[in-house]
Amino acid sequence: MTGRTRRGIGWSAARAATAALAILIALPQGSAAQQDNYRIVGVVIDSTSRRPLTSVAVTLTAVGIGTLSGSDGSWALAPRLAAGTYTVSFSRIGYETATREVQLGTSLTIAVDTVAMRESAVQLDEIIVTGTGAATQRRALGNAVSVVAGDAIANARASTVDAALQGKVAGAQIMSNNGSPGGGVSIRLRGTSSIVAGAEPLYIVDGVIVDNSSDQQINFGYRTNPSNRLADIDPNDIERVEVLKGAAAAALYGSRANNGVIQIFTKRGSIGDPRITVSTRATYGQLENKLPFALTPVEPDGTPVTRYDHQDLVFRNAWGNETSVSASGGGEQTRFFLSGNYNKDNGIMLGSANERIGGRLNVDQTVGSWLNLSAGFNYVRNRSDLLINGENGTGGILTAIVFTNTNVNLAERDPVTGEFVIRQTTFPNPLEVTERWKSSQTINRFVGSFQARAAPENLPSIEYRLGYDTYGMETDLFIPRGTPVSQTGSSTAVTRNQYLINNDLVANWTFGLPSLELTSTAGMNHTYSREQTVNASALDLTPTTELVRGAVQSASQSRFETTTIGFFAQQQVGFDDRLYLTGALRWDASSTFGESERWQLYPKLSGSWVLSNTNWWGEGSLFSEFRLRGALGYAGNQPPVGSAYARIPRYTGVTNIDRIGLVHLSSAGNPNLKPERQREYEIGFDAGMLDDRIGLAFTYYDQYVTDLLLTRPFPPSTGYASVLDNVGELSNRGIELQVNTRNIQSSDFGWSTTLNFSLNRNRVEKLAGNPFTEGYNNWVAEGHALGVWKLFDVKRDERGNVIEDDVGPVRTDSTVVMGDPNPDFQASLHNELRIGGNITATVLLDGVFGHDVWNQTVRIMDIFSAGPLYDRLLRGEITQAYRSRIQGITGLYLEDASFVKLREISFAYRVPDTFANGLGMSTLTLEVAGRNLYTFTDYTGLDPETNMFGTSTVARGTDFATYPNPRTFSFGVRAGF
Amino acid sequence: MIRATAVGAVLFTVIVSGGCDLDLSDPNSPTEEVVFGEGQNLILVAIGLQAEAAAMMGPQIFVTSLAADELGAGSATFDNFKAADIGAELVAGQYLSEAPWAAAYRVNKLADDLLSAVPSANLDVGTRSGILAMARTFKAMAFGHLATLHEGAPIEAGIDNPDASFVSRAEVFAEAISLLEQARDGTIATPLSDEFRDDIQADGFDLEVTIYALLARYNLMAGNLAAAEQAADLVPPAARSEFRFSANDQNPVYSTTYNSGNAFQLRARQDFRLEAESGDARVEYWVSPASIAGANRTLDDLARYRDPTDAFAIYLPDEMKLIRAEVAARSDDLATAIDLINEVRTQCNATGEPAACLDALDSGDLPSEQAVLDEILEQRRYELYLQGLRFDDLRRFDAQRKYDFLPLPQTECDRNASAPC
Repeated sequence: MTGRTRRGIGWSAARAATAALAILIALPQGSAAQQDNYRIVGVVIDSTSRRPLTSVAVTLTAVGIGTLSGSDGSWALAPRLAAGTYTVSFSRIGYETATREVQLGTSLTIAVDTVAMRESAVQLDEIIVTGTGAATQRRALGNAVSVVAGDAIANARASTVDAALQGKVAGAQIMSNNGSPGGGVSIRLRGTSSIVAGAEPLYIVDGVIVDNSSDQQINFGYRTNPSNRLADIDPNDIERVEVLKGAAAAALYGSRANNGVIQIFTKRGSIGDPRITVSTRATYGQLENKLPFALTPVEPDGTPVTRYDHQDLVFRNAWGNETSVSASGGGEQTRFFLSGNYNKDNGIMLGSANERIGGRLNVDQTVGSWLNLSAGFNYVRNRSDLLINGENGTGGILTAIVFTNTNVNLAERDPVTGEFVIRQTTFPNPLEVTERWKSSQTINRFVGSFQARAAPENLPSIEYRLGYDTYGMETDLFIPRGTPVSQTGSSTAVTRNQYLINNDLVANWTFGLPSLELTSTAGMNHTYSREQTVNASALDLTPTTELVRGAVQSASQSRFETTTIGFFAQQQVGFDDRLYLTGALRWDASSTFGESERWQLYPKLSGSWVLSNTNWWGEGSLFSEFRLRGALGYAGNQPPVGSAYARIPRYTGVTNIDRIGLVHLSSAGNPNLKPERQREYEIGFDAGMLDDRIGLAFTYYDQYVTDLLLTRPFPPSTGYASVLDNVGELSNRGIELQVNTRNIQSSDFGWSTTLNFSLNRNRVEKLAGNPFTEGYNNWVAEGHALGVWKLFDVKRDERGNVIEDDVGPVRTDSTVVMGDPNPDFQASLHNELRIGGNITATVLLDGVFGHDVWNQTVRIMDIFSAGPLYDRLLRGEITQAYRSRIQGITGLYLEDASFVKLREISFAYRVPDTFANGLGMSTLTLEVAGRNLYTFTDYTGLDPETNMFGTSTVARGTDFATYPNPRTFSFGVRAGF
Repeated sequence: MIRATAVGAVLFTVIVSGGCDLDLSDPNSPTEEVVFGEGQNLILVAIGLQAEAAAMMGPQIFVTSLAADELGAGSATFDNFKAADIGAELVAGQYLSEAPWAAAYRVNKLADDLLSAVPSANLDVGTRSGILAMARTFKAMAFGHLATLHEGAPIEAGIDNPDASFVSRAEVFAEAISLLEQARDGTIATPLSDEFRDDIQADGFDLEVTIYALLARYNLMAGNLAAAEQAADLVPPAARSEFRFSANDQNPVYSTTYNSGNAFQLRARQDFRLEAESGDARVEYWVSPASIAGANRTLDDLARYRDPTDAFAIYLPDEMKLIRAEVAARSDDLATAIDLINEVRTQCNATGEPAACLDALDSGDLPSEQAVLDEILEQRRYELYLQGLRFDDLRRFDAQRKYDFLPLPQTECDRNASAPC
């Protein structure tokens, strides 16, 4: 996907075929002189290791036809062109772009000499897709865009794309809230920009907006679904990820871009014999840390007793496996990429598992010399056995054990009946729950795309895209008859059907003059989404059935639709490859906005000045490349789907004796509802030092969100309680720094390093009405960061000494702001080593610093006679009164959760090709990898990277019986045929 | 190329127009536009108004009963419930006044909706008359509740008037009475249709009788003695009007007391039983002896409203007698007052209403106006227990009490610039 030119994005993006095909094909061929079918072939290698380079984008720049090199470095292009001189460019993330001139004459097959590409820490020539269809070089962009290559995602050995991005994007806080198999990640780009409308970025796969919701359909204890729907995408299929972090970069996405945009590009076929890759690996997961259970074998009165570490009952070591097969290739006219994958993850908690089966077909078809058609089809079935945990004790697994005194033997069974002796403590015995209850979630999802791009010579290119994302998600909870919580049983099935369709039409025109290049873009975009949920439940179940069948049955249905339409235009001006200016406008309308506020305008302006290309830049300067950049842009954020109709005054049903009547909803309609609006500016520089062996990218950004959506309380005399209104303001300011170094580059040894550092300061600037609490203790008040901790602290005198009475420390009279769940800063260090030609290794250290997590898990253990404080009581170190006192000082359970994780280690050995060839393979690679191997932290819970409230905007950093992230080892083989 | 552009544009328009409507309507909840646009939908709002009016009784009862001497806090969860139980100063910002206030204004808003939309609705003239009278009656009842609890309240309030100005409780009563008079006159001028009586008016609810009963009640509270007497006379002794409930529409007093999901857990104060005149059969009609550990004191069980489908009387028949007795006593007609008191005292074997079954008193027992008034207050205490009237009675009779009025809800103070807080 890297082979795009400034002219457009022709062959590469993914899209599906419909009537447009027939109509466009029927058009007469464009003008042009005598054209012939040429074939241009060659090989591309790494300049130091002299190994073939795969995934190099090879593009005929004048006509926008491109391909990718195969694993043997070979590539082939088959254009239909008039004779003449053309330029072929070679680009790959991490390498300097190379170009070669080719002469097309009487010979129809042209072989280009081997191209040796040089590694570089600076990538000003890298091609970026800015979100409008107009691909551009990085040097022309006024804003920072992070790009992560497919290799880096595959090397992470994470089961989801978002987890694989951890530690790789400066300015992104990527937290794995939950270690459940099947994922559960939240991403904040440059801080949190919303309170009620969601703060997750917009995801776009091959030009198609895809759903990444995490709505909880049945209460499994997390207030959101443990997994988010990005988990349906197989990381093995990914070619590249681009991250646009804020309004300045993403203004052309209009009223959905406040939280930034993550663009994912999947792999596509290239010309050549079919290449088949088979990759399989076994994974082994285990619990990294343990909770400090009270195991002193006495009762508080000194009586000896047996105590049990209940963690041993619910955690396990788990094997899983992951296999993917892909085939790609094609000829001059048709190219394809076909893949299938199977992923089974048996979680480290008893009863949890995830299974994902998926397939993808990407097809590109060239018609004539100027028309390209492409289509993508992706199907996935993603099934999880979910565990109840978090705040839901009834059926909760970890939740039940933190609420259970360690003197209880949960594993004991009646020798005759086989039933557990202890069926219920505070909550049902978790072992019985894992054996008898069922809580599962199944997703069947199809994402399809179609694209037609017409790019006649010397005329604007026009591209039409159709994207389609639909899935059915069924969540079930079955509680059998005869359990302590329900003698007659219950069963619930919630089915959600999600449907999202996008239409885009974009025209691009590039006009070149000596030392001046003009690129114009104009287009429109339409999105329609529909979400329908049917909830069926039954009580007093028909014996032996697990389905929703019983004496008492109920059902309900809800549906939400939204439509967004946008028009946009962008003009880019480049002077002499050194100064670039871009101006753009987006004009947006959404069905969620009130009629008077329906159309919204978002402008953007950016500039880039490549100083090192100016005449006066000294040849021998310390900086081999240097450019300054700056951008200013506006973007919006729509009301959440659940408030899709908040602009309309509405009524709801009510029962009067046995008649149905109507009464008004307690939240008023707001006819003036509009999007949250973000203004962002950013300034920064990119620099290359020591002949581009060191690359530096620095950015300062300043975001200010106005019209922040909040539930504005109404005076009750109006007859209403509240209204959703644009009344708040908040800001994010921060810096991002990325340093790439090519430390050693020789044919025997290569070593490169990437350091990412970012820092964000969030502040609530304005609220409507009183400060309020979200989650348990996350406080939202003007002048503070979102969700600061407000808890009881120990009381201190004027000199700062803790005030104690005869029991122990005294707590403050009321709760006080004590900490912040948002990190002070984040840093990651990524090292890549190449030893000889056959061995590569990577190590990623990922650190988050200065965020506070409230350890409600340990607090509950202390209260319910299972925790470390209780253990001190058992050991006679403290009194019962002291214990009660400490448990009431909630702030004592707030911990600094700074951590550094050994996030990724991978080690790959490519078996000499001669040996592989002997086995009938072209390549064979053996891999060993580890993920989340070790956490350096003072945090006393299972995992400092956690949040019971999932993707919540404000309620962050609550540790309450959440599924910890496992330590994972994997052993794999990858073979190419 | 131009053709390609044109074809592309046409294609795009065709595809987009499939789902391009920016005025998507809510399929989950009817919009105000739909509701107001069709008479049959306004009938549904009228039914909804009756449900809201019935629900409004719950908070009014529990707050007045706590602030008077009828109920005690069974749970220590809420500071203001404990405080109201013993008469301590109520903490600003803590939940108590909020519930009846918000419930009354929800009724006011729904009634206003009907009063504005029904006159031009495509409905039978008798149906329109009925809905309008019902809207005015429940709006009056909402204002009556507010004037019972507070020194003043807005009477012109709504979504377009978030800073609604306050008027004195005398004016609130005057507005309530005026609304009831309009309701009465409207039903007389345009008789109610069968559609209204059969399909709208809830089972057990009698609009016309309710209008007279409430006119009597609020005129008495407002000090309009003659008007109170006249209205009370017009309530037929055998007539009844009540809110009925079902499994899906529960008695709101039950909801705040015995419903296990409720944290208030309000129960009867024992002094109601202990201070009763010996032999008063109404004590066991209302309460059952128990020793429940409440937040501040030991409490009895209720005997009424224990079942979610128990009906709640909009007025009890003997309230009318006691209104007439009070008017007579305050007009120096002690003999008539004593006769009416005795009708209440000596009633035995009533169904669906309390019966005291006590001996009659004479002028020797009640020699002065003050003695008669004291006896009326006593009879009201036992006859009208838990009817939401005791808080006003204690003030009107200037008896010993914990509060004259309750503070305005903090939510109104915070959000309404005109609120006198």
